[in-house]
Amino acid sequence: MEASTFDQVLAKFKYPLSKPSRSWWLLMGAMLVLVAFGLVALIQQIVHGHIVTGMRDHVVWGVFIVNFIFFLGIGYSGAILAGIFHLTRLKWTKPIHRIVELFALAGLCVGPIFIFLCIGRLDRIFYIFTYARIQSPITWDVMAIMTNLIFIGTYLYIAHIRDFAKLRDTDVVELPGWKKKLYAKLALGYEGRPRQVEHLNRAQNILAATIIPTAILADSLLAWLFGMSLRPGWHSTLFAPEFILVAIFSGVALLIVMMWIYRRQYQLKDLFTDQHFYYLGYALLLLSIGFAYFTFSEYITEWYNVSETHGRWLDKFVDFGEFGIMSLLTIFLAIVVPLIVLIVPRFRTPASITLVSVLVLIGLWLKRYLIIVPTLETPYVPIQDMRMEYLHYQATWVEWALTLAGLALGVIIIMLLNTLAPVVPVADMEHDDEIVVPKPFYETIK
Amino acid sequence: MDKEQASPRREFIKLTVVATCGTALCKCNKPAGSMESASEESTIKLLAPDGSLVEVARSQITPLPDDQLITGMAAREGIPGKRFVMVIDLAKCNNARACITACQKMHYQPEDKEWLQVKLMKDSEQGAPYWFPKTCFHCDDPPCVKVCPVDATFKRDDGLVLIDNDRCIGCKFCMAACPYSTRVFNWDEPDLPEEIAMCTSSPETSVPSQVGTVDKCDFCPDMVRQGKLPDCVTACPNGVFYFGDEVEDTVTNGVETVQLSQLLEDRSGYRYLEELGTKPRVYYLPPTDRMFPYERSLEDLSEERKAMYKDII
Amino acid sequence: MIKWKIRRQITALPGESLAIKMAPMVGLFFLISIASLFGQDEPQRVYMYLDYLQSNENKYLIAEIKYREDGTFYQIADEEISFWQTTDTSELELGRGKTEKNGKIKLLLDPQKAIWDTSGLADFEARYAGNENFRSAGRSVTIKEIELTLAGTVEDSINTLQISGVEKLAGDSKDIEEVEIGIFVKRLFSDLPIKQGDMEEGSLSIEFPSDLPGDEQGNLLVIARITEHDDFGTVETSQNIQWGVPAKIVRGERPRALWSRAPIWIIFAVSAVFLAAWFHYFLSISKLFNLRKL
Repeated sequence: MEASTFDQVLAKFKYPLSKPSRSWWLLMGAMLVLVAFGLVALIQQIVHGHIVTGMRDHVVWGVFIVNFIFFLGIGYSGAILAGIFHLTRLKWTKPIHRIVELFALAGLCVGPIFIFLCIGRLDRIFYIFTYARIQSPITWDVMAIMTNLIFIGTYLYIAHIRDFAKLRDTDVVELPGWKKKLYAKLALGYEGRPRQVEHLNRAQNILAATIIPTAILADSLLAWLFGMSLRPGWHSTLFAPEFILVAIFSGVALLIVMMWIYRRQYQLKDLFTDQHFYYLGYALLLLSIGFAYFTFSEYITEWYNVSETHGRWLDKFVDFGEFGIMSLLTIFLAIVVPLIVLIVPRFRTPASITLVSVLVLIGLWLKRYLIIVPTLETPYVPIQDMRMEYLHYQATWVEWALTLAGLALGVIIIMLLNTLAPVVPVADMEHDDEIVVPKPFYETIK
Repeated sequence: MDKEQASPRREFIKLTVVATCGTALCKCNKPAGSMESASEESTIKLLAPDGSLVEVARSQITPLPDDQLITGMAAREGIPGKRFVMVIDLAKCNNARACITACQKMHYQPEDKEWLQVKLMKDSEQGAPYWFPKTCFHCDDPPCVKVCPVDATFKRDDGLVLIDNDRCIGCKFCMAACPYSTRVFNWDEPDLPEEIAMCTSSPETSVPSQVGTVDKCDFCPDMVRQGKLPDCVTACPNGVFYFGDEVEDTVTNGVETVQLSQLLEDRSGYRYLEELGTKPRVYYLPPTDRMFPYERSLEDLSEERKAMYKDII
Repeated sequence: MIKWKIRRQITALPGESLAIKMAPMVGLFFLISIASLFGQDEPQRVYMYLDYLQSNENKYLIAEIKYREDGTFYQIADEEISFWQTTDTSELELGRGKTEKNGKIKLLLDPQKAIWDTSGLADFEARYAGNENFRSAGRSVTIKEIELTLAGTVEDSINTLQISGVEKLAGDSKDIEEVEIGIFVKRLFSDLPIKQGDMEEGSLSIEFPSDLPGDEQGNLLVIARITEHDDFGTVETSQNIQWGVPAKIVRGERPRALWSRAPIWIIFAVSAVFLAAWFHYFLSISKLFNLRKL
């Protein structure tokens, strides 16, 4: 690329970098309304207790934990993808590095909120540290989530330093004075001197190599939380790999969706090319096949295993009065539709791939619901309760409001980060060879 | 025997009850009187032994002295040298629900919150249904204790699994982990009489319930410390529950006292879902030579309650 | 000191339906209470029971009062009962006290006061004076004093209990005939029945099992008991005998389910992973130090 590429690309991000556009404010306003609505629901929950949710003694976790898994899955997959993209130096992935980092951070910020919403006594939350039991998987999860959040936050920052330096020095975009000062601070005096380049590269390499295993481990922990329970549908050795695959599946789908949105918003057809959609579409196809494989092996093994409780559990997936429709819908959205659209060449367009991705995201959210609720509704001892709401789980408006608020909060985080730096790592686009020339990993660590 | 008959009570009953309450000791260790000195004349509602509701002046209730309430670390130790065990004789249960009511009174639980439940079970299609009282099993390998992040639920040396409600953060992981659906959550603020709500919480009494924390059957260690049987055991009109100490190899249902090993041998005692490996401390005696046909126990139930058992009947 | 968990109905039950259900009952009760201030009811008949218990050296009288309504008995608490020894010519008060929650009162007999006559008999009586609600009641028993002794011997390595019983007469004694004796072992909540046998000519020899668990030293509190005999009342004698299998009581840290303390391997594994991750994190950060000056 030529030297002016940077200026050309950067100019596309004049808004919201110099000042947020009208549409930015509109979207932000809408998201803030959703968050405010969520806060109302949260106050309800704090004042009246968890009775305002649909959770009861059998289904002790509901939509909150579904969102917890969903958003953490997004976060961890973002971390894994960011690490892989950086370390493999795949040239075509360069423009999409930042998107992945953005939703990694947003997912890891929003996910834990939902576990807090499941806690009955938020006033005692610090007991998790003061009375920590290291043998409880929850303690591991707390450590893992915090670690990953800090790692991803730092990685995001390191990946931004070159851009901050450029933004500090540029006059292509008119930036407010405070922002210039901020960039000057955040850039850590980076001028692109060879030693600086080397050090920054090493820092990023090490952290990229660290966040992949930590994210994989953290997502596995999430699966083990359930796998370690004596419950049909949960007590599975397959759970951790399935969780990781499903997480990456949802991450790639989200990446496609965000790419499509940004491409339209900033006219980035040159950067987020059709080829990007096709490549990621192939990845989505592979992941969909992997998901089909896991789903099949989960159900087929249970199908042949006729243990009484497992049988009752499995029956709910084929009973249309129970979870039959939802499980069919999940298979349809996350397996059937991707396979058809992505295999047949003439169905493959950026728009169709994006649509498939949206459907996949919905399907994978439903998949998490199917992991949590049917199992909790199938205890060993039959539920015999006079209170109807104790028999079946039904999420209430409080849970939906907080779900939307969580989603909105994720969008807000990404939008705020968008005002700080371009959606594309512009500095890296300019200095093409700096990053792309791969060095053996052991050399970079020295 | 259902004592909820609404027959008119005469004054002497009221007097008896008031007199009785005068000697009663509150489960609480904070004197209600001192906290409420301004409202000395205020009354509280009590359930008389005959099942009627009466009002008694607060001043007539003597609180339990501090030294008898076991709290904190002492409550985690257990009663030295004991290993508590329960045997439930399925042949004798006719769903009288006296155990449930007694337990609810003991722990100030509302009518719809059952720490102890009686399920109608049927093991196979051709098998006959039977009533299945289910307490906490106080497992020797408790899945709930494994997962608690803050050590709020713990296993004691005397075999009991208890909950420290002052410690519980309400993550509900123990509820998801328990394969026997034993634990219940306080989804909203429990409706407790003020002086009970103000009590010092103890894992041994499981009182008072606190919003956002987990409760469950505790085998009433506070009663056991005084050499008294848990309330469900004494309340049962059919002697279904046997309670005792495994170290002594003796259990009693309040009427007869038998050797645990002999009882399990004679009646083929088993533990529920042994294959899960949780090693429960509750044994069941199969419903052989039943004392009651299970259908008879259904007759007096409300339609609402009968609907609970629709999958079995 | 009794500790009675007050049987209290939760005053405000959750859910409107319950509150509505309870309201008429409470209202009805108030009406009745007010009505009863004006109307005077007939005092209720009182059922009284009197038992005699002789446990080792101690002798007790146990009285219980109840009333009956709608076919159900209810104990009467906190009412005064007086105990008397009566002869043809005189009566002597032995003591008095108020009944407990279970309607019972137990009186330890003062050996100075309770006197058995030359034929070995004594008459005891419990009296309840009554009040405006309850009628007065009384009950008497005639008790023949006996002495029951228990000794454990080992014959041909078989544990054998020797029980002997005599009727105590003035300066003389007479062997007890044909009385059923139960052997019990004291347990936490109640007494575990072991065996029973009939006493002939004042003595009984019973084989005692050797496989009963005792305390840590193998101690067992063995009880020989005559239960509610027409002439003797309940008479028991107990003795600590080391015939039990010593209990293995593990104190302190018992191998608990998944560890009251985390095992080393978990601490090691978790810390190793955690530290490894953070080591690399700081390694990465360290590369950024002094970036300005490079």
